[in-house]
Amino acid sequence: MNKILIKFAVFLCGLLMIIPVHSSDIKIEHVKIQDNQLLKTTFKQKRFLQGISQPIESLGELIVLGNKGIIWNTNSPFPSTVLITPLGLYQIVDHAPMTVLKTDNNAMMSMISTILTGSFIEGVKDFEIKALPHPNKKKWEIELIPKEKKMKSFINSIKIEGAQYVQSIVIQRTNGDKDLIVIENHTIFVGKEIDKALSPEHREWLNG
Amino acid sequence: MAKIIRYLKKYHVHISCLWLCCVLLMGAYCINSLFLTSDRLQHNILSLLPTHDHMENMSQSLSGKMIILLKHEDPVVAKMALNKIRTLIKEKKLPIIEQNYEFTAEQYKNFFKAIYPYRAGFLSDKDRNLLINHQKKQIADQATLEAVNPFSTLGPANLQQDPFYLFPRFVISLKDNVAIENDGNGNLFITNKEEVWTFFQGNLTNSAFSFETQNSISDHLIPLLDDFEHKGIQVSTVGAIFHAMAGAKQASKEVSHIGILSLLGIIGLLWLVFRTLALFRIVTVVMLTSVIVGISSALIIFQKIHILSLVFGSSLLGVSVDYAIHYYCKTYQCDEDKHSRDFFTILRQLTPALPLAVLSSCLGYVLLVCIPFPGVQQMAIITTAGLLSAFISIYLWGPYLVRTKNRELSHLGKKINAVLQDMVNFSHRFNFNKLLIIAMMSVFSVGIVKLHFEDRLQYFQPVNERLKKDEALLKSLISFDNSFQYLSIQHQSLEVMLQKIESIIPELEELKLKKEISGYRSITSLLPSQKRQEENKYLLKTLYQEHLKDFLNKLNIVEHSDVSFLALNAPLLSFVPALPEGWRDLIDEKENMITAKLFLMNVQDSKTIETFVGKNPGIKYVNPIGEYSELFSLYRNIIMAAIVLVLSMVVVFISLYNNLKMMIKIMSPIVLSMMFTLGLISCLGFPLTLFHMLGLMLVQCLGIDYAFFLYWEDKSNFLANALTALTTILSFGFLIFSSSIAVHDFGMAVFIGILTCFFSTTFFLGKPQCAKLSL
Repeated sequence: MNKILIKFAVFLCGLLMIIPVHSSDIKIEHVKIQDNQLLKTTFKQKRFLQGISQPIESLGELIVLGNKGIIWNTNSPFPSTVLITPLGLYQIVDHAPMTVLKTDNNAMMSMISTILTGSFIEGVKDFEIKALPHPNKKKWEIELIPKEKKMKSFINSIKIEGAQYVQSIVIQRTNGDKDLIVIENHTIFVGKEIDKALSPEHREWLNG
Repeated sequence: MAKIIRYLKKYHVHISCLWLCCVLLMGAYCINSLFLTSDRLQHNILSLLPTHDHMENMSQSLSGKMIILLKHEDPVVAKMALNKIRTLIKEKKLPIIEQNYEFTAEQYKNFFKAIYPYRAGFLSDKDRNLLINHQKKQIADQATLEAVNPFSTLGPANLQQDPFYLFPRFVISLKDNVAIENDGNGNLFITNKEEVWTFFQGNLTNSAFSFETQNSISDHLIPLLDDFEHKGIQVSTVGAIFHAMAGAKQASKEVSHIGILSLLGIIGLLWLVFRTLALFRIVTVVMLTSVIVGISSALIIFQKIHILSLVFGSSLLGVSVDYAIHYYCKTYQCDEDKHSRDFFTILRQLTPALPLAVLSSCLGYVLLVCIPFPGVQQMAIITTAGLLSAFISIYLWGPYLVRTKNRELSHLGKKINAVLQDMVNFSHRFNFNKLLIIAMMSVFSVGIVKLHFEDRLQYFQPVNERLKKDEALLKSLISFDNSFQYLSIQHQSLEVMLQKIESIIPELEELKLKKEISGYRSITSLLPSQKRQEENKYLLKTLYQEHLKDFLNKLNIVEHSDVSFLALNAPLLSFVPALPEGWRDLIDEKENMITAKLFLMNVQDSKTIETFVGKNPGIKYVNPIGEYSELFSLYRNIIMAAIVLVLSMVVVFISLYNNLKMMIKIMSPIVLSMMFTLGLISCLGFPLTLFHMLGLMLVQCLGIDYAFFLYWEDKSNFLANALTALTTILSFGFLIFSSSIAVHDFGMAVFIGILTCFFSTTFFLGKPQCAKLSL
């Protein structure tokens, strides 16, 4: 009987861990990129598409400059650069940004930029936030479930895993597709280091 | 005439009573029709215009759109305001239906689902051009980027069935307003430079030009929007209803202000000159009779009359006041002559001037019946019948309403008469009339060189700065066009019709490049012809042959897409699936005939489109505004012809009645005055419009009256003409101060014309006297 009770208690505790909690109740220790800081990382992305047995893999680097923008630089399978600023999403063609979409029209994009800067608990609106148990005590895992109808129509959930920084993002889409983005080699630059870390071209794009 | 007067003298009591009974019966009929029967008075301004099915339908459907934008620093407040609008529409049963975007989105979804099996035949214009111009690699590169990009703008990848994202690209190319977003709860908003505008779009269930619609919006919705503004919510409104309401409000405000001032002016003037209420008695009775008979005649003939015809026709009946004034002034002359105290002396003295004056005016107005504008026809009947009844009332009731007694004219009255007499004496002494003719002809000659006409409907549209700003704001936020112009293509075969449209698209693109149009909206963007689908399939085949393998290799995808999934062998779409909202207007099938409408946006010059249509047989250019402008032009010409016709008829009549010399004497000041008025309007830089012509028609009728009354006077009675001219200027001439162009133009023609006619008839026909004349 006691064993059953203990098992039940353990089950309840487990449930508590995944019961939705108010964003202000979730406390995880991680670094948030401040407006005056620059974060450089590398990424590995795997896109699992329906009907295609093997994932599409891509590698590259990420540059996040506070609230000014993100440079998503893909090196493999072929070089390409995407710039995200509060004004919109741009594809870099011949070293110049070409507008693809306005930021306000792409909720998905604004959400990812919030996640990358580490502000997902305060910054992500219209999502139910769940803290998931992680086997590694030094790490944490959060699940974001869209509440908003439009977002719900194409995303089932977003899982974010990290420790000091965000380390991986899994986007589960409603059509069965899945994106796994692993983020590594985080480096933070502050003050004058930022100018050194950025190429003149990158500076122009992010400040333009 | 003497016989008629003798007959009247004998049976005047009976005839007067009979006429009174007729007027009372007509009065009862008017009250019953206008106040006790609900559908005899029309309020929709479109019913004033000729019936053109396509124009009416288009005006109805396009003018029914309305948009309200709401902005507050806290978007939640703006959303709450939007919900208040929705509640008000429901509670007050306003004639507005909110556009249901979720329903429209569902329609689009179903449409795209229906055409998906045929997707190989559907390409966006941009992709088609890239494929034709051998820029296939660009499409492949963009697809590769999209496949690895986590920020997909084209939706989920579909590498098996549509590896190059061509179908989502086709779908996106049809999206008009990517700027409009939905918050998921049915609330639409537009984000621009960090500003959030909450967006309401609705369609009117009744015409925007109906006074009932305007009243319900103005009584309920406008106060709510005003309240929002007081609470710090920025409100912008766009739609024909708001323009129509602003125009009607402005015109009614001006006309009522000018009307009150005119009325006070006329009462003050007549009181200062006569200092008696007797004149007001005859004026009131004559006016009332003419209005009753005029309106009831129009009701009998047309069954229904428009409120504007009623108001405008009744205003024109103000002319009947002139007859009463002439009659009343004559009673002062009778006092001088003891032998003329006969009951019918005044009427004898007013003959033939008064009957001829009434006849010429009626002739002028009755000719307006030929103009196929229901509004003008109603007005013509009201005026003609009203003037005739005024004449009958004066002849029958005049002797009962005004008794001839020994009376002294006021000092002002005497002074006016004396000054005018002095002016006439002076002009005769110094041959001033010849100088006047030269001056008037000079102004006319200069004016005729500068003369140009303006008939465009837009010219008469009152510009409301606020609504103009609101429209500019909306255009800056979303792609918005309120164009009414389109090309109409008809054929029994859908395929032939679609091919015909596709064949003219390159020419329309050229016009777009030349900025003759800002764009166009064609059914072929959504539904290509089978021929075009076949071409698209071929282009797609070459794209896959050249780039699919390379594309998959780049993404390290080993297995190749099964070609059968690409729908290249699917049949062609040969029917019209259920179209989403916004596209249904573009195609219509009736009695085995399919009609397509190709909307043109911001047409710079309709002549360019006419030339374009001329080169493409089988295509009709429909420009409702242009057609109304053409009607304006036609009716301006008809009124010009009517003026010339009336003048000619009066010329012939006077020549036959007396002689040619007399005719020249009577008609020359009228003709000169009208020429001078035309010349001066043109010299002042104003284009001549239909409303100038309507004013000139009134001037002509009144000018002829002045001439007749002066010519057939034993002694020059300048006071009656001076008073009638002044009352006309007070009634109509002051409309020159209106900001509504149509009203202003009418007022301007009347102001200049009446002043000129009065002075020219006084100088040319006034009899010079050495001694001072007294009435």
